[in-house]
Amino acid sequence: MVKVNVVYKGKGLESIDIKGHAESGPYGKDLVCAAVSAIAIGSLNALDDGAENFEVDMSEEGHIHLEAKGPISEHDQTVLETMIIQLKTIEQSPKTRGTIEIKERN
Amino acid sequence: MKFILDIQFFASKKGVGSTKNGRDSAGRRLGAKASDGEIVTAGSILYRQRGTKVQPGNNVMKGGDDTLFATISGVVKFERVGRSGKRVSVYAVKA
Repeated sequence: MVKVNVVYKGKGLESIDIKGHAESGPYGKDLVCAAVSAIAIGSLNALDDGAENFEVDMSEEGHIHLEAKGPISEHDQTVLETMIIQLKTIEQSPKTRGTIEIKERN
Repeated sequence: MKFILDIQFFASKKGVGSTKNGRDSAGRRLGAKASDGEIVTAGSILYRQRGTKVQPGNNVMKGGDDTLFATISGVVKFERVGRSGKRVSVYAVKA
């Protein structure tokens, strides 16, 4: 199961940690993994200035850690909120339930 | 684009591995070596088998590996034994 931990600081986002394996199919045919990968990595590319305002750690397979260096722009906030909603869509869809778990805390 | 997409970034590689199976021995070419009504010479092999799927009948003997062979020259006959049994016999050909 992929675990997503979102930490807010006040209204803004402080960090997002996405870790684990979807295990919804054999390697190379794992559809949920493909969706999570595309959403997460696609969102990173959508951030301002190549995510310069964030510490991004993707050194470990199946693990992305994103940490804001300081207050983030409205644009980046929107991009990341969109990413979280997309991941929640996977979490709550009947066919993909149990493959991803999202936790948010302040 | 700064971040390259690995579409299986969150997939588990657990399933990927080699299989320990994939070996098999060559076929032993068992079964009938002479057909019903065929003329054979003494010593000819009639049936190769493991165990006695087919029993030895008249003028037929069983070898160490359960192979059935003719003890006289003659015509081959596959016969029924009981409900599901089978045996093979060789009958001399009247001149």
